[in-house]
Amino acid sequence: MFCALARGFVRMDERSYELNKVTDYVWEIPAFGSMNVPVRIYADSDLLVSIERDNAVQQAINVAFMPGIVRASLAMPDAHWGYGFPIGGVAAFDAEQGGVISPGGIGFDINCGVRLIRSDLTSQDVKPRIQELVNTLYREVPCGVGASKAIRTVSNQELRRVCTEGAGWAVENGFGRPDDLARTEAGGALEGADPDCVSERAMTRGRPQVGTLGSGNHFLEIDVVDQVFDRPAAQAFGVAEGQVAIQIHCGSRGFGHQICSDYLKTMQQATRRYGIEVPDRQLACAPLDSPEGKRYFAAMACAANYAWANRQTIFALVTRALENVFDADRDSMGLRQVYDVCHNIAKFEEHDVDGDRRVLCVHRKGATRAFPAGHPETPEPYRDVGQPVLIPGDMGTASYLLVGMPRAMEETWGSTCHGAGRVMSRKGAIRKAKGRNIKAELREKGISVRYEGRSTLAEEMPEAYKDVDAVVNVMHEAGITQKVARLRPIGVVKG
Amino acid sequence: MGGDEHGSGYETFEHTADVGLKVRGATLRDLFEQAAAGFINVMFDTGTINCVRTMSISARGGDPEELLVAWLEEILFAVEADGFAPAAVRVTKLGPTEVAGELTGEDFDPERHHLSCAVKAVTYHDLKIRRTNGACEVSIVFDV
Repeated sequence: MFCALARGFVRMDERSYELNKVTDYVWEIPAFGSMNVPVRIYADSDLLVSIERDNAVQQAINVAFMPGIVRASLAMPDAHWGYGFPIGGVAAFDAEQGGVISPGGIGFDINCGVRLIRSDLTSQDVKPRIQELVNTLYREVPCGVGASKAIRTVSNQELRRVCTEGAGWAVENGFGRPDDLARTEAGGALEGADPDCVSERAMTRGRPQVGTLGSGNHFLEIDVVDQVFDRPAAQAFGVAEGQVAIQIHCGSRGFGHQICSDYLKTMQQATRRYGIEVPDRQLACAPLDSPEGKRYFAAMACAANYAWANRQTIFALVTRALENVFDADRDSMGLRQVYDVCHNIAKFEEHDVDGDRRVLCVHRKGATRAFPAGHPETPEPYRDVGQPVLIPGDMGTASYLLVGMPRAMEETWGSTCHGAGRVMSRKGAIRKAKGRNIKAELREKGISVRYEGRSTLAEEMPEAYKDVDAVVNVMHEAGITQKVARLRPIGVVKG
Repeated sequence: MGGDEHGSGYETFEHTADVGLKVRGATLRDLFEQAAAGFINVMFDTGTINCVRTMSISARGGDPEELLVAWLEEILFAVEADGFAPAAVRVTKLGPTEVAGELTGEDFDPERHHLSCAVKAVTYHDLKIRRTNGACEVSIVFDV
């Protein structure tokens, strides 16, 4: 018996589920009916209202029905409804308990993620030339709808290597340095990728799009480190107040979207074949150790590696743009990658489950890995401090650099939020922006923008998103991730 | 919004992060045609596209919803991978598990054609073809 989808504003007396407050920042819906596990929501009381209002809670409940799910179906404070799983959802599955893998738990934009680059440039160096820099970035990094042939259209043979080598392929082709890989999640390439599991259709979409930014909420951003909260961690990560940093936010483009679409079809059949009942056909899945499950993971890893190759390539294009504008080389500007994280991925990770070490398939959809100090996957330069976590805010407000804490491993499979999350539809944002000059409003805040497309700026305006300060604060107060620094944008390039 | 004198048509609707289309067709074939027309108009300002050549497309699916998603995905692929800018579409054949049709338009020209919206994928969100008062209706949400 599955619950009907709840719509609209949810009053306490209208809830079809029990909701208990565990702490000021953690809420639990105990398992009922055929749910295998409870739902745990990380939110303050204001964010909880918007999470309940837009159906994300019902989706988190639906995930709790899935076979082999361990401990809880989790929702982060930036949760909002998605396709199958909510965006801002985390769920781990155990193959030995019949656990499944589900494309809806990763998303269409596989390895949509963020890369942060630090520099010795200060806002005094950059601000006088910000428009020139933004224009140069816009020219050097193809973005926007239909952008393709950024560097060259790669051959099928090369695309197969992108699938298996990820960011390493880009470095080998002259985009960046080997040291960048050590400061990238998974070293910039997930193991287990198999291009034979990728359709010809996906290869066709992927070939011309390497090194392109895409559109929608993807962007390049030039930031100033506005405030440091944790000096030792900031020092380890190489950031200090007043320094300029650059963020790259993009994913696997049409390649990843096609892989997800292809495997949603495969999984519809697999769900039937394995007799799995799901409350939403977008939760279509297959057992982790089934041929379909293994093939999807192998294809998903190809898409993840494509996205890392993409961000590595774009990093090199951004470096070139900075070198041109400031007539200085990368080293004299102190350009170095802080870290690169993904927001949409499934990974096999070892976790503690009631005193046993188990390998689980952790699905993070609109959620970020956040490993603590001492973890073997925390990069060696940061091992005493913890893994950097990058949280891009929306266009007009702050982004954050956080660090993973031990409690993340205890409670959320080493996961935290990913960003602000939308609260307003694109049409709603365009309506609200009518009569306003969003570009001028941003300029008044000291932010220069360069963008493609008539409506894209209005669609992405600050009020369309949740308050990133509040979202980050929840995970800080809950002890999952700690704030290290806040970054304020001074320039944005959007597709 | 678009439509014809038979009460078939489509309109876009709001969805927090993405774009939705409500479609109505006097018959299932009408529905497929209107869904395709609506999809093209979500992606493009079709007024900027000339009808220079046609392109045949076809799709297969296990049930009507799967078939509808596969049909729209063919159009997305023609746009993204073949670089085709469609201005119009018609269904030439519709069976229980397959559909065929024609797109009319021209090669995408970034100087002349305005691509309003980059669609990542066609989703199954709330996708259920309903028959009411003899007509067919469906809502489709696109991930953008």
